[in-house]
Amino acid sequence: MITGERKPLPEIKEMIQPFRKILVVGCGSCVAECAAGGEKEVGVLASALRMDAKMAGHEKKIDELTLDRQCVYQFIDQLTNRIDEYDAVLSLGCGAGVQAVAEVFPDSIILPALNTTFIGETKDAGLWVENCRACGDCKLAFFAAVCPVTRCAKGLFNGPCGGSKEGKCEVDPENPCAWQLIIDRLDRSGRIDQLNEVYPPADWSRKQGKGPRKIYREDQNI
Amino acid sequence: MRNCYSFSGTKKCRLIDKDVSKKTSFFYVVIPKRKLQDKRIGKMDQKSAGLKLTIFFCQQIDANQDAHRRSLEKELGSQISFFPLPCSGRIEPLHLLRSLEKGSDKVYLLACAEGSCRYQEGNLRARKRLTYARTLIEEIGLEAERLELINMATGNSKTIEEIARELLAREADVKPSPL
Repeated sequence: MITGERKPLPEIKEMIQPFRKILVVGCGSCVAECAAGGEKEVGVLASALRMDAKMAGHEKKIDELTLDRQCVYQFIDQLTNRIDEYDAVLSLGCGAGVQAVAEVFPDSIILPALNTTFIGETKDAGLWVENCRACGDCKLAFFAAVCPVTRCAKGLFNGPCGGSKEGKCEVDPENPCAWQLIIDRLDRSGRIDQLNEVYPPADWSRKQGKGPRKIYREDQNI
Repeated sequence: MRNCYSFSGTKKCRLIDKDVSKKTSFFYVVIPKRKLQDKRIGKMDQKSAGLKLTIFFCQQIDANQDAHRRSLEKELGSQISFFPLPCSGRIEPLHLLRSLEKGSDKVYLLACAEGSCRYQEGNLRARKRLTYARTLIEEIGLEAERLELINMATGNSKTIEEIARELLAREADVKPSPL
């Protein structure tokens, strides 16, 4: 899941300041799960902005709409007959959603209200933790489904570093040592010998250096 | 030059010319009701100050809440709004913000005593959500006091009407909303 956090209100206010009619658009997928950009958050932000504008004596029309997914054209299409009514769209989608909407409506002003943060899991109610860097060369099979690149503070492929204490990371003792987790899990499943291998560096060209990455599947292109 | 003093909602002003030999003239200015409320608000109870109250409350507080709140609703009309909840934990920051946006001056959330929630943690969640909503309204310049959580005493036997009347009799701690 892609996670995000709402930008500070003063930053949002500054962005929308030149515009009178604003549509706040949420996304019902990842950012709804992390309570940053779903229908409720759209309502809260729009309500706060309306009250703020009223108190400041500004005449603003601020409406709300939440798409099921803001990164898929079939859902973005719901904006087609509405977007021209507004001077700007304030998106509570992730960076992908903001750009997808902007691409579909090249003449409209699309503004981001979220800081897209990381790919992670919902660890507990109200707690999201990063666990994937989207490197494009997944090695989880070797490391007992614990990513050392993301979860080890030093990103070590050939760890551990030797600095952990009682299973906690020396960089941030609140975090478990990723290599301790890897060793424990491999040991429990009888695969500890896997660590005798020395793994070559990951193919980072799959992550960066060639501009935006693409996935294309002919079978899905119907 | 103007010399003014006010009494019971009216301000009496006297124009004084620098040349004292000229006649002075009086005129009256009616102070707008809202401003009058603003001036006196510190000394008035919430009902007399004309504050619009919204009360979200856990239904477990008063088993017969439906009947008990009716007379007060009829008596005060739009000055008071009740929103019964199956548990105070059902509250969302959105409910609180919408109430303020629609013109409430003060929003109360009545929850059971801590440790006695029928659903274990509902009132604890309610506190967290109300605290979050307070930070949101402070961001836009509204006073945090406009949102208030009240945990009822353990073994509360007061009806929702009695509780609401006590709230109305409280001294107003906020001015009428600028919204």
